[in-house]
Amino acid sequence: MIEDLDPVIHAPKRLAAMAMLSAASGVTFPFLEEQLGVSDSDLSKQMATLEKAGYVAVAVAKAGRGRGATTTYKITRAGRSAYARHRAALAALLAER
Amino acid sequence: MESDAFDLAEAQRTAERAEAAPSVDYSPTPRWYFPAFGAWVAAYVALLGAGVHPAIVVVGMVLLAMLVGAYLGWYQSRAGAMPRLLGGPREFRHAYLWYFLGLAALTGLVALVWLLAGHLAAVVTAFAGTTVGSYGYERAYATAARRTRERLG
Repeated sequence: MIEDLDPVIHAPKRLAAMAMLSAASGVTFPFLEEQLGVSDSDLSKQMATLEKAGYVAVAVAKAGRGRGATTTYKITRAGRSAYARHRAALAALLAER
Repeated sequence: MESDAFDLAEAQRTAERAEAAPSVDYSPTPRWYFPAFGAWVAAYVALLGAGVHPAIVVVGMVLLAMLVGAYLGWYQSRAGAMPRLLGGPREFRHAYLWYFLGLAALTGLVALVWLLAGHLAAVVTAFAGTTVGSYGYERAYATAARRTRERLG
């Protein structure tokens, strides 16, 4: 059912970010930025939302020019479960139609 | 509603493409990688049969392991994403299978060569086999990446 979709994950950019993180052991900020086609500040906001939900964590954050350029993210266990549920709900909804 | 169905279908496509991105969007492997990997494996085999004090063997293996860590860190920063072996696009299963089969075959071959022709021959076999095998895997990986991109559009 539509309410099974996770509202935190369902936003297109966050969905794509979670998808990439689920398929990698770590993803850098520049890679996410390039793949998603968003600005530094937009991506930071999206990732902050996912971090706040407990779905992603910063794996490596190097000092110098702040978090942006060389930050690496990884998906948390809770994030992996939430993403798997979201994908299953998506597939189930599409199968119903 | 039709627009809801479209949004959900688009969401699924978005997820599928993004899941594949760490595997298919990568920088070409530099040419030095293949002989370097060959040299690393050869060094490992060389250490095992060097006949030196065990402490030296242990230190050597720790150093070789640290090299792997350094390489993975470099690769991560260069490529931007380190794909997981499990759960990647289905097109990669063939390449991964050949990787592990190749690894097992090379291990067996090096052991056989060592038995029949001695330690030095085994070191040379390890170098050559790894260099050629890793290049072959790179080709298989590139083919898998191309097929995945074609499927996902």
